[in-house]
Amino acid sequence: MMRCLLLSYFILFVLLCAPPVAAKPLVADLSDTKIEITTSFSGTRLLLFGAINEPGDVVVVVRGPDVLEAVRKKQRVGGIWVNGRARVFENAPGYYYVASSKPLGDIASAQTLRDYSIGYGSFELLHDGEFRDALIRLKEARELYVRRDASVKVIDDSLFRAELSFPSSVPTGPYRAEVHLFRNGRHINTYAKQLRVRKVGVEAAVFNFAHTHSALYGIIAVLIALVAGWTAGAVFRRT
Amino acid sequence: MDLYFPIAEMSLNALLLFSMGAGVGVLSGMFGVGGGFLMTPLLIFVGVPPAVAVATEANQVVAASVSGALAHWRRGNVDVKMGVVLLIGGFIGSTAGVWIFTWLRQLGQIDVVISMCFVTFLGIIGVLMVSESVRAWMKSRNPGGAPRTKLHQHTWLHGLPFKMRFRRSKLYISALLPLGIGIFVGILSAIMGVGGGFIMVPAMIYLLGMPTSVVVGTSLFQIIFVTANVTFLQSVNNQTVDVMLALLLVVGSVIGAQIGTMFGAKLRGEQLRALLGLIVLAVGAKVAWTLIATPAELFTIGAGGH
Repeated sequence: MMRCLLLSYFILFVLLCAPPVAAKPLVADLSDTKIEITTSFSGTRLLLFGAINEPGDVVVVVRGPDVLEAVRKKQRVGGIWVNGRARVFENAPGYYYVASSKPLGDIASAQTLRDYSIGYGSFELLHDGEFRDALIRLKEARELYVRRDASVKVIDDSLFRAELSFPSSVPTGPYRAEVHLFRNGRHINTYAKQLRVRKVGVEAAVFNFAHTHSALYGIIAVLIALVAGWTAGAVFRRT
Repeated sequence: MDLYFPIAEMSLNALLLFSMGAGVGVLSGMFGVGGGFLMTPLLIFVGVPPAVAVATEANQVVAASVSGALAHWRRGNVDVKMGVVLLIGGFIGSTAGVWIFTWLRQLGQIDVVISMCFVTFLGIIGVLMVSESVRAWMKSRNPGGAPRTKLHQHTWLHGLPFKMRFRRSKLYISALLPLGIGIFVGILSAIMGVGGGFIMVPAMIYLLGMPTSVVVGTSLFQIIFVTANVTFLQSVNNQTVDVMLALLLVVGSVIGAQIGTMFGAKLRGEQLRALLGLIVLAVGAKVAWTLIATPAELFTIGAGGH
């Protein structure tokens, strides 16, 4: 993690020293293109950085794989709060991050932002109204949806960086990071990078085994418990 | 230190979980209970999804019951025949229970049902324990006041067919009784992620009339198999058993249980029972509050079902 950050600062430094490249209007990179969930994983941060060759507004969007989410509304039945009506969102983004160099509304029109899948307004969800609002609110509370207006730092109208954050409950799968360049409300260019989130080591092994060999997993879980209980009994009987 | 749990799909503080295991272990050592009825709500309080908490706790109870059951087995305090009859009921009940659990999960109502089961049973058991210890305390201050009740009271329960002889328990009763108790406790075991000893033990004493010397050993004996069945079926149907979480809790609870046993030997029985009763009531009240209080957020999200 630290090494990644140092490396990216080094790259930033090199970019700063080099003369501006005229050819590409926009280049960007990530401090890491994979997030590996290990036993000690408790969320992580990545740095997205790059350069633009002319002044403009930068928008960074990172979108994770779609997930199925059931949103339920509680209602009171006989003095008890139970789950009442529900709406199932079949293609809600599992993770969504949007950051910009200025408030989004000042960068482009709502329609233009939607055209480039920028902002919550661009989500094509099955349901509108309070259930849609609740989905976004709850995902924001879990830091799975992040909106940071005016958080992208642009230095000398050429270098920019954005800090991405991922909570420990980040869904696994392919991610796509996009950087958009706007000028005077018009879209100039897009640069995309792929990112992958996956469980590795013991975490991956346990999860995959539980889902592919459920019965065997159950038997092993029972055996581990039997051995652990028996061992504990034997150890403490002796002492 | 935070650890990521692969089935719960979240990171939790390992020290906190270990302390919870140890704390519940101390109580189970002091009072000779499994502790599942306290651990499952605690896991839900710290944010573990209820479905994962219940299934994982069943797995932990297997480990917690083994050492206790072995100790009773060595002392000959297990009525194997009674245990097997209870166990047959337990298998039927827990299999049905996991099926009900899966169905409720698809309906999106499992969280509410788990909470309601806990409120009901923690409430009943807590009130019974506290009132009984208060009564015993009153009696000890005013000896010889209450008339002696008969040892065996014959009710309609003793007229049921399929009578069986249970030599170890010195009973000749209908097999339907322990079978029915086994089924009932098996269902609760699957839905609540508990061993069910806190219901099984009073049922064995008051409904079956078993001698107290074999009650705990026989109860633990059948709990091992019933919770093993629940662990297996939850793994197959719902993939909600987190072995890493269970193992961490087991380590905490076995250490806690040893400390608890030492404390338990120094306290008086009535004080002990009143104390456990109050703890049970406190946990029940906390769960009840989550059901009754107007939630700050009316909406919930979860991947399960439609």
